[in-house]
Formats: sequence, C-alpha cells, structure tokens
Amino acid sequence: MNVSYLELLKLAAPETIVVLTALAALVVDLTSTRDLEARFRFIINGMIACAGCVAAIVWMLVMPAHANALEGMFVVDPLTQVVKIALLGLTLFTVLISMDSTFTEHIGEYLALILLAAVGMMFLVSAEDILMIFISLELTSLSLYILAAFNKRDVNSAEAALKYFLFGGMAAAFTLFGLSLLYGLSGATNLGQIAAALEDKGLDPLLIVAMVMIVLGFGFKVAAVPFHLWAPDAYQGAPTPSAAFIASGSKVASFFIFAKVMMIGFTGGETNGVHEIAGSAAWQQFVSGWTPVVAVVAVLSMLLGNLVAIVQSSVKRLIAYSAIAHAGYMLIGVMAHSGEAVASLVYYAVTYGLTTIGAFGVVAVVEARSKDDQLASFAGLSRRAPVVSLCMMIFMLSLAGIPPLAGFFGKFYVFAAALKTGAPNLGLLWLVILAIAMSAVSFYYYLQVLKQIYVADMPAGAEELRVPVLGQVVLGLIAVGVILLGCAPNLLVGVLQASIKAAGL
Amino acid sequence: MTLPFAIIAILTIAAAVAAMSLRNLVHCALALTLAFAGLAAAFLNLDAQFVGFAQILVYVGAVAILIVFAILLTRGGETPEKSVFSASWAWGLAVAVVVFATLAWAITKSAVVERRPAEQVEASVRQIGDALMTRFVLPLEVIGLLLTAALMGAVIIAMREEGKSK
Amino acid sequence: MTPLAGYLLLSAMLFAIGLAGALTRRNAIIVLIGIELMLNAANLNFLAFWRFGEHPEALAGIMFVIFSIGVAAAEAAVGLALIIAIYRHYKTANVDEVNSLKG
Repeated sequence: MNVSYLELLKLAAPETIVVLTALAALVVDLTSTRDLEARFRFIINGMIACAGCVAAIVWMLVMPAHANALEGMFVVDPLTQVVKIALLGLTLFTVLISMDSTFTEHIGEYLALILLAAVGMMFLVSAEDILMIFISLELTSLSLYILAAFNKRDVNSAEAALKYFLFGGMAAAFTLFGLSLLYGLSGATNLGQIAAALEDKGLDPLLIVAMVMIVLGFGFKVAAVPFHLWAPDAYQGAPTPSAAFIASGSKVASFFIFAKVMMIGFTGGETNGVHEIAGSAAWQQFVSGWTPVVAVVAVLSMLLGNLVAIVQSSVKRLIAYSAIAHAGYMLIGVMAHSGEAVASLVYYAVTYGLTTIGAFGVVAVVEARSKDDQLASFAGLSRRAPVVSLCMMIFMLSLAGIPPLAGFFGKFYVFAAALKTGAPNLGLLWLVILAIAMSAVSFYYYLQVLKQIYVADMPAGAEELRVPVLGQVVLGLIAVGVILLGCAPNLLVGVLQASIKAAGL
Repeated sequence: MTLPFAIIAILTIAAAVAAMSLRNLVHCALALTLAFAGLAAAFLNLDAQFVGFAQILVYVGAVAILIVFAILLTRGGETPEKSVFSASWAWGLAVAVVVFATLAWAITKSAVVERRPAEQVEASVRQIGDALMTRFVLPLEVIGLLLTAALMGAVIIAMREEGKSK
Repeated sequence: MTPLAGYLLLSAMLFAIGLAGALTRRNAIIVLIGIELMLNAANLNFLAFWRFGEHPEALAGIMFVIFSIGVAAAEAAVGLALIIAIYRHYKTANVDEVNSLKG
C-alpha cells in the first residue's frame, strides 16, 4: 500500500494549520511574551490562535476537497467541511471570550490545549474508521479534562475535572470494549465495511452488547440521561471558557459522529453512495431495535434536564441542565435518520453551541466582577451593563426557542425532519409532542434569568459594570449571529442540504 | 482449554481481584502489576509478541510506577482505618455482576465461538512498522498530538502554583 | 489452542472486575486502576479476535491495541495528575469526600 504523504498533508491542511497555530501560541508565550502583563499576553496569543482558526477556515473555503484517504481513516467531503468550519468558528469564539479571564498564568498552554481539542474534533468529524474515531475522541476528551482543571486556585475546578475525568474514563472503557466486539464480529474497522460484513449475518447477541456499549459511550459525550451526572458539576466548576467549549464544540462533534455511526455503521449503508436499509428480517428488527433505546434516553433527558433546571440557583448549573434537555431534543434528530435529519441536527447543534458560548460569555463577565455565578449576582444587570444584558436576553430567548431566533428554527427543523420520516417511526410523533411541551417548561427558567436581569432591583452599592470593549464586541457578534441564523436560516441550512447531497448521505 | 492458558487466566483474574479489593493501596498497585504481566502473557499466548512486550514496557514499566508514585504522593501508603468501599458498594457490585452475566451469556450464544484460529499468523515488527507508516499513519500522528496534550496538561495540573489556594 | 470463547470470557471477567472496583472503591487511584483494567480487557478482545479472525494479515487488531495502550497510558498520566491536584486541595483522594459541587 502506497501512501502519498503530500496528498495527505494537503487534505489535512486545515488540521495541520490549527496544530501549527497551537505550537506557535505555545512558543510565543514561552519565549517572548512571558514577562508581559497577563492581559496583553492573552490578547497577543489569543490573536495568534484566532488567526490560525481563520486561516484554516479560509483554506477550507478556498480549496474544496472531496476524498477518502486511507480506507476511511480520513474522509473529506462538503458536509465534513461545513461542520469543521462551524467547529472552528466555535473555537474562535471560545478563545475570544477567554481573553478577559484571569484564572491562569499558563496562557500559551491554555490556548494550545483549546486548539488541540479543536483538532481532535476535526479529525473526529472526518473519521469513518472506528480506530480513528476512538483516538480523536480521546484527544478531544483528554484536552477537555485538562481545560476543566485549569483554574489551579479554585477547588471546584479540580473537583469538576476529576468527576469529568472519572466518568469520561469509564465511558471510554465501555466504548473501547464495544468497538472491540464490533471489530471482532465484522473483522473490519471501517464503518462501511463493518455494516457490509454484518448485514447478511443476522442478529448476534454480542452485536447488541456492542451497540449498547457504544451508545453508552456517546451518551456520556453528549450528556444524555442517565450518563449526565458529570455535566452539572463540570459546567459549574470548570473555568467558564472551558465550560463553554465543553458545552459547544464537543457537543457538535459528538452529535455529528453519533449520527454518522448510527447511520453508516448500524443501518447497513455504504460509505459513499446512496444507502438503503436492506438485509434480512433480523437486521430490520435490529435496526428498529436501537431506536427505542435512544428514545428512552431522549425522553429521560428532556424530562430530567428541564425539571431539574427549574430549581437551580447557579446560572452555569442551570445552563448545564438545560444542555441535558437540549441533548434530548437533538437525539430526536439522531433517531430520524434521513439526510434532512442530519442537516437539521447539525443546524441545531451549531446554533445551540453558538448560543451557549454567548451565554457562558455573559456569565464570565458577571463572574469576573461578582466572583460567583448565582442568579442573585445577575440582579439588575440591565442597568449596570445594558449591552451585555441585551445579548443575554437574545441567548436565553434563543435557547427557549422563541422565533425569530436561531433556537426556534433549530427545534422546528429537527421536529419537522422527525415527523417527515413517516410510518415506521410513528413513536417519534409522541416524542415531538413531549419535546414541545418541555420547551414550554424550559421557557420558565430561562425567564427566571431574564427576570433577575431586567426586573429585580440592583443590589445596594452596585455600580456600573466595566465590560471591556472587546468583550462587548464579541458578545454582540455572537448575538447578531444568533439573530441572523434565525431570521435567515437558509444561510446555513441551504449549505448543509447542498453538502449532504454532495456527500451522498 | 490448554494448561498454559488456564494458568494465565487464573493468575490474571486472581491478581485483578486482589488489585480491586485489598485495603493497602501499595498492595493493590503490586497486584495490578501482576495482572498486567498476566495479560502480557495472554497476549504472547495469542502470538502477538510485539504487543505483549509493549504491554510489559508500558504498563508494568511505566503506568504501574506512575501509580505507585501517585499513591505515595497522596499518602496512600498506610492502610486506611475506615472502610475502603463507598457507601453504595452493593449497587456497584450488582451492576458489575449484571454486566458480566450479560457478556458471558452473549459470548456463549454468539456465533463467533465457532471460529477456528488461523493456522499461522505473523505480526513481525517490520510489518507493524510498515503498517504504521502507511495505512495507520494518520492515527499515529493523532496519537502524537494526544501524547503532547497529555504531557503538557499533566505537568500543568500537577505543578504547584505560586499563588496560594483559597 | 484454547478456543476463542476462553479468551472472551477472560476478558469479560476482567472488564467486570475493573468495573466493580471502579464503582465500589472510594479511593480515586483505585477507581483509575479499575478503568485501566477495563481498557486492558478490551485490548485482550482485540487480540483474540485478530488471532481468530479471517484476515490476520491486515493487522487491524494489533494496531488497535498498540494505539489503545498509548491512549490508556496518557489517560493514566492525566488522571494521576488530577488526583494529585485534588489531594493538594482536599488532603484526601477519596471520591466521596470531594463533594463541594452540589445541586
């Protein structure tokens, strides 16, 4: 087997650019900016990181590629390009909202790890081979564990990271065991080959075990009930920008690969071509067999996430529980495996990620001044920092799913795609009804936050919050993005649908 | 079942049980080393020489030492007075038993147990090296990044910070 | 040679022992050891399936194990660093005493 390394390098150029940027930020910080004030260090190295992300995005826009390298280890098609661009955008915003923070002196390392986590997500998106999926998943997870522990002075940060790590390690062990069974049953590591090898063999009990273990691993990554226990602690204890990245980038990448594994690996499709659910009766039974499992997880996530979020007093914890609920909505998209469902899922995940980063950005601003993220600290924020408050209103309303914001269209597309898949998934109708009812419940706690900001009295002695101009501009940009994607969803959906068609899913 | 495999299996399982149940953490780490060595023997038994020796180098040589360091740094050297098991240990044990029962049932019912081993397999270092530089070149690069990230992160996290903790 | 089921049952047993330890022990280091045992059990599966597979010359099983040994070692390093950081704050490595985050 001959491999053209040059071709491979060209294909993986965006990833290479991001890796080089990570190293550049590290080297610059260690050699030249070390003696400067922390603020300037963050700005200089943050700008390097942003430049790298932008360069990678530009490369992907200018050099469209469509290839399958090394038997599915690295698949580049228009769909993966779009998702990677979105991931880099989320990385960019994470870097921007972290520029104002003071929790660490290891700025170069912090930015380098954010970028390495982003590289892991990019490889994950491109992987159609279980070996590559496992390794890039681990690259992402390990970087995120470390990012969660970065606030060395705070006990909660270490605790959050330890819990995240122990649950994550266990999930990784389950995933690896499931993958080993999958390899054993099919003798292949490529998703398409696995599906082809399993198709005519009927239903093996080990296959069911493998599937449950893999779903469990992914369930952990997307923080769905009952594998959600780490999420509230990790979101609350981790430094806010790290939490934002865990909640956004990692979620987008995990949902994308979850849907991909479910669609290619388990429905017997082909890697590149129109797929058809074919095969024996046992196979059909099996395919419809995993849907109820995921459905139960989705229902539990929606119920628990929304109901527990109501009683939270910490805003980061509230966002964490609402994230569990959103995972439930997105699982509906995973179940409705059609091309359109994938488009709606990616749209939902990306807009959700963007909104969450914005919300965490606002929390970071408040946290920097009042030292905690309790709801009470937000009291009267509208009079202390009007621009930031306005942004928070947009983010909260979008998360609640109010038109014309992005959150509304995300939900709308996912539910519409689920309903369109038709007869075999009649159960999806009930799920959609439950999801809509639960969205109404979620409105209550999002409004609680807004009530504190806009209605509650300012605490005595509170003065105007000084928010750096850069921070305001970044939050404003994210808010504009949320409105824009909501008012003109076709900006993203059109691109997604075209690329899915081109990718042949 | 052959005799070498039976010896390896019994040794590995006994060592694993000891690693999970002994009170003194240093004893646990030693039992774990034995379990890793037993697994390496099982790998050799499966004609995977390279992986078997890698297992000894990495796990017995590096990971076990790392664990002993961590135990001593966190003063786990002395035997704890209180219970070493968490309050909800019965649930944990029940889950593990259920998982094993399910796995064992699935294995015995599965069609794969009919399989016969290939007559002769070869996985020489040369072949492995070739594969690493061709089909598996990308995972190799990614694992390089992963180790870089882990190295950087482990140093940062374990390092003592100048500013005092609150 | 020992049949495939022997190896698979050994690996299932190791996985369950590791899981039991990870779920029942209080000390975070032992929990980590349990996770390492679970990862090792998966490695045994890969090798057994490789040896009994139809295409051993493809080396996929061997490769998976080599990479997963690397991943598991990295994971152990990060985990032990985290445990040391926790110990610095709490003066304990017991997971049930590390519980300031609640709600």
